[in-house]
Amino acid sequence: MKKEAFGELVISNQESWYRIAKSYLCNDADCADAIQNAIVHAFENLYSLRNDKYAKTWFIRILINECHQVIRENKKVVTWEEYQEEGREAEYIRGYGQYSELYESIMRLKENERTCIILYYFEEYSIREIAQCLESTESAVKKRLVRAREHLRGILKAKSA
Amino acid sequence: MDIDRNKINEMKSECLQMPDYIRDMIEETVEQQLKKKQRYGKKMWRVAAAILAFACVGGGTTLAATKLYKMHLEQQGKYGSTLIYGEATNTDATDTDAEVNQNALYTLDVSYVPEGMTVDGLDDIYADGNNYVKKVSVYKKDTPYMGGVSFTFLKMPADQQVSFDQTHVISTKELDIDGRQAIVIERQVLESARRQIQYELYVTYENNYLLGMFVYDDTELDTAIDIVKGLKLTATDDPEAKRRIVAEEYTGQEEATAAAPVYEADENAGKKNRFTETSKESMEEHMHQVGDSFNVPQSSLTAKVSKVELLDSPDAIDAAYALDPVKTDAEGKLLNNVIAYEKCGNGIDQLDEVVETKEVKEKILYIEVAYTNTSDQQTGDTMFQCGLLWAKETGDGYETVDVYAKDDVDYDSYYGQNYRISNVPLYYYNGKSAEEKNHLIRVQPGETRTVTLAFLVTEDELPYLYLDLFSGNGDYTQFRQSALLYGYVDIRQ
Repeated sequence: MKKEAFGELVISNQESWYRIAKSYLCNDADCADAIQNAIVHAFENLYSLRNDKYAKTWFIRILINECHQVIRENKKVVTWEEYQEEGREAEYIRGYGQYSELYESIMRLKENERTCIILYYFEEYSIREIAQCLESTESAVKKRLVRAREHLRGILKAKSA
Repeated sequence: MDIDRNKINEMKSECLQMPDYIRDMIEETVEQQLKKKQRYGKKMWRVAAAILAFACVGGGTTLAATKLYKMHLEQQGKYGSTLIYGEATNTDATDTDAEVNQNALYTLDVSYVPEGMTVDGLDDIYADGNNYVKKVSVYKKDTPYMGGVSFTFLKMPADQQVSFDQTHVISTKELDIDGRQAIVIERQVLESARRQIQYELYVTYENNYLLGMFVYDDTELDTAIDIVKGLKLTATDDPEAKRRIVAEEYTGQEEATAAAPVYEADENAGKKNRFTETSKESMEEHMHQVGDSFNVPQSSLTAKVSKVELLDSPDAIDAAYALDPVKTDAEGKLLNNVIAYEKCGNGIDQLDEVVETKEVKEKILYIEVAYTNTSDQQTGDTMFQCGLLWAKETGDGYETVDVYAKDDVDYDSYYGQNYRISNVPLYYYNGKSAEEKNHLIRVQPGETRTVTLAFLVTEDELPYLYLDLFSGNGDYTQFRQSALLYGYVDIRQ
């Protein structure tokens, strides 16, 4: 893929990259770091992209790795799990108004289930594309989505009880 | 349980809004990357901005071929060409403006797939459960997802001209494919391990649909034309019809260029955790040797690089899954690689040129990493992507090495003609499942799993090789802070 075409792809999907990063990292500055590192990393390795059609899923895979990297490199980074452990969900969720319950419930899912939900419902990727993003199989993604929906149902039910 | 899509869309638009400074940062970073001199990349050329547009309901039957003359070429310099769409030069066309149905809806079938090739992209199921067709690839079965042809249908505006600037054009020709106007643009292709686009093929269809096809250099143009002849577009009034084409709508390039902001380059952006020199202490404090056991970051696993071997043939790898086929001679041995140093032309007045070549001995670097779960809990799904670093000791520290850099040659980039220069593993295998690659799923307490991986390297790289097991693919020529913290593995040969 040519650099210009890839640049267009990165810019035209920037909201999506933010939402994906946000599902891993609570702090916007950390999201910015992860996205920036992913862009630099992707351009440096663009020659290794095997097929243009996988550019988006390839970039998401890099972005997810960079989110993990930001967490590993900086102990000050607060993950969603840590917010939950500290009982600070409300701090993170504030501002989401009427949607906070659903979003908070999604964010309560385990990371691998949450990623599937975000990519499938928010970013509208196909099962096959999600499998490519996560270097997993389509059947594994389907199973994770089923489990995620079950867990989400449980979380929402517990909240309403 | 159903998740309310409307609610999600509202949440996306109202709650998960990206701050403006991140938007600025992304655009600046992309701009900087586009300005950077390419090290490994190939030539650049401009493309028009694309947005997705969803077609709506139409009606009718399978498209009959009609003579549609809507494209012409304008020469730019010696090797540039602009394809202009939207100016009808033949009023005999049946596709007059009055008859254009901008909301027409079509399904697609590929009725001709050459022997030994397979088609991909027709049956993808998207998040809404529907089967759309966005991009279709037809490639050789033995080189999946590489080469062959790939195509999309573009929805061209009915009321304006759209131009596509082409560079590095060797030749052009106009064809009639079953009554449809087609233009073939042949591009410069230099010998390389990468599959490259040799031809672009544009074919007009009714209702301002334009087929855009890339033909890679492993596929004959005639084969691509036969595939085009076998495409069956059928009008439908069912918005949920299978294999419904979702066309890309092109905006004018001038418009896209004018809207592009101009940014000052900041060479340090995105580099704060990457550098080319480091102290002896920082490099050696956590460095591991082959055979050492060490902790895996944020995991109950320990890792040990238990074997590092150099192989002359891919047959020697006991691999269940090879990511890419590896080129070999008649005896199954690796060929020598040829490093080509390329001076990029602007594609208008000058073509790219290989100004120097260097032959190097190619090897497969085969590595086994044993992971052991030292806790009393089963692990989840753990995955690490590893990469190679080229570095050498200096008097008081370490610095990265650009192994193939040549100071005495004026070039813009280099690349391998027989094998890609890549620090991405050729394959991963976790010992259990080809599909799981390097995923370590549910490692039991006390259990050891061995992940095998292999890289293509050359003998020139061997004295400088360090393995970064955990921090991603990275770059050959940059240290990463996290990799230093977790420790590079010294695998110099």
